[in-house]
Amino acid sequence: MRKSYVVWIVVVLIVASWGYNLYSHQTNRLPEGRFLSHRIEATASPGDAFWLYYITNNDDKRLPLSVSIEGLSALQFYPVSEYMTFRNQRIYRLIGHFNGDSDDTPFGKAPPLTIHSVDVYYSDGTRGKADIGEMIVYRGDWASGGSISQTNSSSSSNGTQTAAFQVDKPVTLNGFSSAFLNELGSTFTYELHAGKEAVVFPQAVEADESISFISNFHVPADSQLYLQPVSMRLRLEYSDADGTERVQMIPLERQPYPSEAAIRAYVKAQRGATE
Amino acid sequence: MRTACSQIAWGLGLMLFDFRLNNFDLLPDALGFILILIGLANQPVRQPAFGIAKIAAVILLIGAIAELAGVMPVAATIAQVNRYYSLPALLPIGLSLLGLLALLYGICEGFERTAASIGLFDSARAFRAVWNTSLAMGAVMLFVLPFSLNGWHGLVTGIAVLAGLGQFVAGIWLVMRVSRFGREYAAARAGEM
Repeated sequence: MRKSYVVWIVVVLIVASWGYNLYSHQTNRLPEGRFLSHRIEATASPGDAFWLYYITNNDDKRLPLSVSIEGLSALQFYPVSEYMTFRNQRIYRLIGHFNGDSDDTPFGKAPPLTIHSVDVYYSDGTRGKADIGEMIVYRGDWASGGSISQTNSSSSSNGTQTAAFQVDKPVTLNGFSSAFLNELGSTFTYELHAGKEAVVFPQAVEADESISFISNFHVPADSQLYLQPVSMRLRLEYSDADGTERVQMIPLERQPYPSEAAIRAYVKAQRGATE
Repeated sequence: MRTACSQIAWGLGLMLFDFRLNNFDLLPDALGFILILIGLANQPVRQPAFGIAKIAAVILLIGAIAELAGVMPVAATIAQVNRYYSLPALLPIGLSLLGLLALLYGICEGFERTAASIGLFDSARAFRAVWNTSLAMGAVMLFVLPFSLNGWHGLVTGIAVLAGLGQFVAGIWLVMRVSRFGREYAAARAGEM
């Protein structure tokens, strides 16, 4: 009698294990692979690069083989590589890189391009447009040869990113902007100093003075923002002594580093949006 | 009986050991299942449990031939399961485990009853112990296997390797027991005459 109880308990445990895991497997699946919702600023200048992140189920064989953006032939994407693995999903990423062919990046004042989707060729032979969030490509107004030159930049494991600049000739700092500053709100903080003083625009900065910039992203634990890659090109606007208006770009990256719980919440939200 | 036991023992041995050369199995499982079927058919004592073993061996033989013919992909062992995440990859492993357990049950139960019927109680107890060990190891594998669907690969691989080792040891024990039982049965029968 005791033995039959044991056998039944074992059978129930095995059936429960398969039942729970099959249910969990089904309810933790993304309806389909997709790009994360990015916030990207890029300059259409040779050498500028950014990452695109793609999330899919672990057993999904359909991956983006190549990506292109209409009207930006100078932008090329490298093949996808694995970035992070979770219980049911994987995040892949591919780097987008502006090469030297600047046919479509005219120098001079050209309005920024706003891009929401990319053309994707998948490993199963299909093609399609895929939403990537928001990408703004600045064209032609990053004129070099100004009076400010970057001397140093660093980033630490706690997310703090710093940059330092040397002022060669007197300048007036007029403003500081990014397309995503308002959207990021309190999740992104920064400090800008000229010498030892905090900058108040407009601010005159003498030659040989240094400008320092320190920033950090503050993303609450398990927030969906963990799954939002951010690639900013902060624009420090200034004018030279002769009145020429220029922009010093400060590149900033925040790579997604989601927890298992954040991934589960993301999948749940995506499934809810699909149903 | 001695020859039949020897055939079953060889069949179990071929099933247990895999010698692969350039991915080609030099000791194909299909040959093992055929030998087991021949051995079971040659058993002088009819036991219902041997019928269960025959059905299980036929099902496993079909799977092994399909694998050899390339109709089915080469079955992954449970220890390799971390390479797979999908249900279609796990189901064949789970089903083949069930088939293997049914085969071992039929053989162990059949020999246990045969041994008990002629007073070889030590042998009967040994076959019961082999079956209990195999069942425990198989149950552990069947329990942990579906966790790999949800990314518990470290846990699955670790436990599966240990359980697989236990099942392998139980398999060798069964091979030795069956060979020995052939001799014991012949000696017991000779003693009766």
